[in-house]
Amino acid sequence: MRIDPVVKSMESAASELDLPIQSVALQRLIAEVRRSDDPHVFDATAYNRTYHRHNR
Amino acid sequence: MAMLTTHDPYAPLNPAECVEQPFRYFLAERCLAPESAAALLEWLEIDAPWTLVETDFYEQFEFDLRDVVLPPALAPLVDPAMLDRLRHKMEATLGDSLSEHVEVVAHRLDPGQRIGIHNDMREGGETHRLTVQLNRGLADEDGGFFMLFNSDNAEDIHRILRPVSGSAIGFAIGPDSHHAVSRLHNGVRYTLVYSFHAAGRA
Repeated sequence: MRIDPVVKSMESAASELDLPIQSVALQRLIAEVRRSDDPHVFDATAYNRTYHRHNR
Repeated sequence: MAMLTTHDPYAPLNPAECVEQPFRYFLAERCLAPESAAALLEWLEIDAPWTLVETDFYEQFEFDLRDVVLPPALAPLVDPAMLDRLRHKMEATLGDSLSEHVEVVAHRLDPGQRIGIHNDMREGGETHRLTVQLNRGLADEDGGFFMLFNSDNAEDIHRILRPVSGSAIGFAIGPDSHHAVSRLHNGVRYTLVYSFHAAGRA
């Protein structure tokens, strides 16, 4: 159920948090998180990285 | 009116930016009270019971805060009343009603580790996430960026966030909530990961 949001500012957060996308070896970053890095990965996009906690 | 006898470690959380696309999320420059953040970081570095977890697409050290006895200074972090206040901030910011059930897990990323692109979806699982960064200061060359995507294509980047200590991102988990953490090259990157459940689903 949705409730009315109270805080909804579209003001930009601190730019300190944002890394400009056209910077710092972007292709390296993409390669680091690409699924095809690992040939054994199934559908990682539908995977919850804390899933194991629920299987203890 | 009941007196609040425990200080609220989440009092500083004040979302500075709310975004609707490619999925609903918000950013906050600071989530924890400075004294709580300092005590927590020191405890994570020295005494926390880390366990290495390895899966198909990530490896990292983690533990569930429900499984440990926290030092008194950190106990408010998992105090039900404090987590309830945090939950209400999530509800107010993202516009969803959440159940009282909240989970808190600590994660540690060491150099060489990363988390591949994923969306946190799990049938019947948590529906909302809050991730708080804690570290001694990471430079851009240290990596460990929180990356948000427009799709499941790793090249389709929406935004890249620096792991600024104390900052937080909260989001609604869904088919489009694709995110990842780039490889950490230097330093240690800690996060507190809070999981919430939509009301009526927990």
